[in-house]
Amino acid sequence: MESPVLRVKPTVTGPAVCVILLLLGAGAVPGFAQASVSLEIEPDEIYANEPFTVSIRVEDFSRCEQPDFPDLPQAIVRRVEGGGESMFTTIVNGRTTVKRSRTYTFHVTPQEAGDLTIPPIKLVVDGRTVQTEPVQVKVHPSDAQELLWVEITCDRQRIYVGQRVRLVMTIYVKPLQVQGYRISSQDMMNFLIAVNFGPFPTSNIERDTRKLDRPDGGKETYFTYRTITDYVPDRPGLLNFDDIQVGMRYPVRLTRDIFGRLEATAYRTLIATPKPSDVSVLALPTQGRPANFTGAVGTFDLTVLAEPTAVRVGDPIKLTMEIRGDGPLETLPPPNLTADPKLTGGFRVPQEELAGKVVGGRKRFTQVIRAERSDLTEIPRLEYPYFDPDREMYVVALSEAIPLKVMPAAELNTSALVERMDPPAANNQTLHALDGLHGNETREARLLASTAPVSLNALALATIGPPAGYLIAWACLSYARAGGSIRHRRQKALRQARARLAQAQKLPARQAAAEITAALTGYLAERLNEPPARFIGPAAAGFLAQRNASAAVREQWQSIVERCEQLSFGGLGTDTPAALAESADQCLRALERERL
Amino acid sequence: MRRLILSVIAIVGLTCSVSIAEEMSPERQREVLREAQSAFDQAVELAHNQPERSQELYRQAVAGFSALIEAGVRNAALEYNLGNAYFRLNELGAAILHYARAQQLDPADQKIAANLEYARRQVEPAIERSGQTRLVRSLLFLHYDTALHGRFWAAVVLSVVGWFLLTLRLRWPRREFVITGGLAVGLALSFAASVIWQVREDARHPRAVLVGSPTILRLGRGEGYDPALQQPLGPGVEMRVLQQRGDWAEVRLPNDQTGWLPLAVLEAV
Repeated sequence: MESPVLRVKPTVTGPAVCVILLLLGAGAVPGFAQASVSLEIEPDEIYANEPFTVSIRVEDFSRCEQPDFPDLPQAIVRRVEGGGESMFTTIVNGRTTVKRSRTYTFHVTPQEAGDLTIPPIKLVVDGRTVQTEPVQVKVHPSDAQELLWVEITCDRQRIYVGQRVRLVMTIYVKPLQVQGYRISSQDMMNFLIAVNFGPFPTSNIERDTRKLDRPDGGKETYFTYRTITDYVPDRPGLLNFDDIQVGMRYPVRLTRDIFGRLEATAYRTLIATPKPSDVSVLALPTQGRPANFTGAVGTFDLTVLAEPTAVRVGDPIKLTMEIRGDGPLETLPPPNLTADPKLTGGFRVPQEELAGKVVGGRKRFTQVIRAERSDLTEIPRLEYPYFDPDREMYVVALSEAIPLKVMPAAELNTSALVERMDPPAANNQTLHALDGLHGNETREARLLASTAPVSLNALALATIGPPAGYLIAWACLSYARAGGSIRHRRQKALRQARARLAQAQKLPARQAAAEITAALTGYLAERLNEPPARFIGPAAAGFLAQRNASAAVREQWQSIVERCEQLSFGGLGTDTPAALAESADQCLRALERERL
Repeated sequence: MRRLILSVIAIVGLTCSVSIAEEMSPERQREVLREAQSAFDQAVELAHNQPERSQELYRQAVAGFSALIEAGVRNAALEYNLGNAYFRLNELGAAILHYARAQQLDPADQKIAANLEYARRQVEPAIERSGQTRLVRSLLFLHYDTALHGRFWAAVVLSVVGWFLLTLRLRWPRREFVITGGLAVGLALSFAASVIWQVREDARHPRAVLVGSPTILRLGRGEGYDPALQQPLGPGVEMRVLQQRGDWAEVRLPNDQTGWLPLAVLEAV
């Protein structure tokens, strides 16, 4: 069923408790007002054989017992479990007032038209016996048959047990037009209730509109809803669908909600069962029934495949039997091979009940048989008896015979069957024994070799070891590369410093002094991987002291720096650039020997 | 009668050798092997004229091969020969059990595969693998059709070679090293995963063979439960053990049918 578009207001309130507390003071003492009882009936118009609702509402009570609905000779009464209850509490100036209400609901189905009196209904409220006023309702003759009915049709009048037939269930619903609203076929379908559709599916329902003849000669339009099923009767007699019930909440009052959607505010509950069928289901005749008949009804073909077709006595032969036809494949029984003397006369056939599988419009059974004699030349034509309901007689479907080559099994146990035991050092080609069994392995080396079991630990070691080696190699290489760079820079520092000293000797005195100073500071910067600015002037001596350079070297460094300054700024000394460069070179050599 | 007593003595002697199996020297192993092979050969020759004597000799061969296996000699050839001896004794369940063990050790051996297939064809009822199982086995043929040891060593060798090539790439950054090494490492991981999966699967759901008399597969662990199959399972039917409870085991047949069997009729591969 599709989701409803129209919404129906519930007529029976579910259990609910509403409490409003107005705390205006402390020490509130609850109190109840005088209890009252009222009776309500829905809907307004009541029809024979259609249930209507009787609600007894009790208000302002503290204790209330279940009412006792009197028996009605013209109606069936059924109590609806789970009546609604609500409570409203107010506290004003310390006084608490509790208003409590409870509803008891009954479904009353009148059996005939006319006046129906609902007598006073007694119930005990707060210890007092109270009763409702008697109510008289008018029951109209039922027109439910005109609003909703169901019909089941079959394309045949006589069918057999086990025969697959197509059944169509058609639900007829009279279109509704009230208060200017007309409900569409789609919307009316949403009011249908599949109480019990039996074998018919509740989905894929076809909708249509038909005009039917009225008794007065006119035409009446009906919405129809069709659902179709394939049915296989399992017992003889009239086709019977008494258990099918189609329900409908037939709306009688409609309004539009604030969104403009149609909403049913009152409805009639209709139940329809299909009219008795006139289709006869016949039992299968016993006359002419084959002994190996297994119950297939319809028309069928049998195809058999065998594999392999060249075997020895006792070897398994797989028979694949495919049955195709118009009968019910899902419940189709397998061929009774054990009852076929032509087959059991030469083959061993298991007693196992075959399950079978429906594959692409055919049912496939497989069975393994074994040849018992070597003189068999074929698998005989297999039989699949069935009852043809159209011809009303038993028919036997026959497969084609399958040529078979069966070799004797006597060869199986001869000693000649085993291959020779010659040491096959040069001849290890396997000989195929006559019975299909290969001979023993004779090579001692192979027979006495031992294979250590595979352990996950060994596998883990073998899997983790190589990548671990890779990581070690990568780490070593990275370390070597980093160390080599430092070493290379240090060697380069000495070469560059000495080259600058050699260059300084060719320069004028002032520039030579600056160049020699720069060569020394540059050397230290490169060797110690520090910026050259750290070694300008007296800072270098302090740094050398921190690095534990010898006092002699520090003095030598300090002396050269001072001489360079004298040569550069004062011009007081007797140094020449060549002598100064020579001293600086000696200082560098001394520094090379130091571990800074 | 005298011959029977001698046979019994011979079997007892071989059985005693089993009890000291762990101490069996290589010379003794060769001696036991030759005796077993000789007994098998004689049994084959006498099969026609003296079938009873032939059966005794087959039993001697079985005892000899079994003694070697219990001494720690574990290889496909020995299990295969033992399977042949059991087959000649018409003990189909034991024959298939040892053929299956042999195949587990060497799945590529054609003789083992052929004899196992031949023996399986004698089993009743013939149980086919389910279609899904066949498809999985086709797709994962490397996993199912190669020996566990083979895959183990393939994983080891490919891992070593692959990582060695990747290590070479650190010094000589060549593209060939990366591609070949990466491929080898990937294959090694696949083989390793296959080995791990099989070892774990065999531990969780071990393969087993029905070696006792025909037994009914039942829906529960007890003789009072309804049969899962009407026809009893004959010796040689292979299965996986899903769980054990008391004296019963829940098993799954190759066609995915499950049920319960007494533990006493089963033997793990």
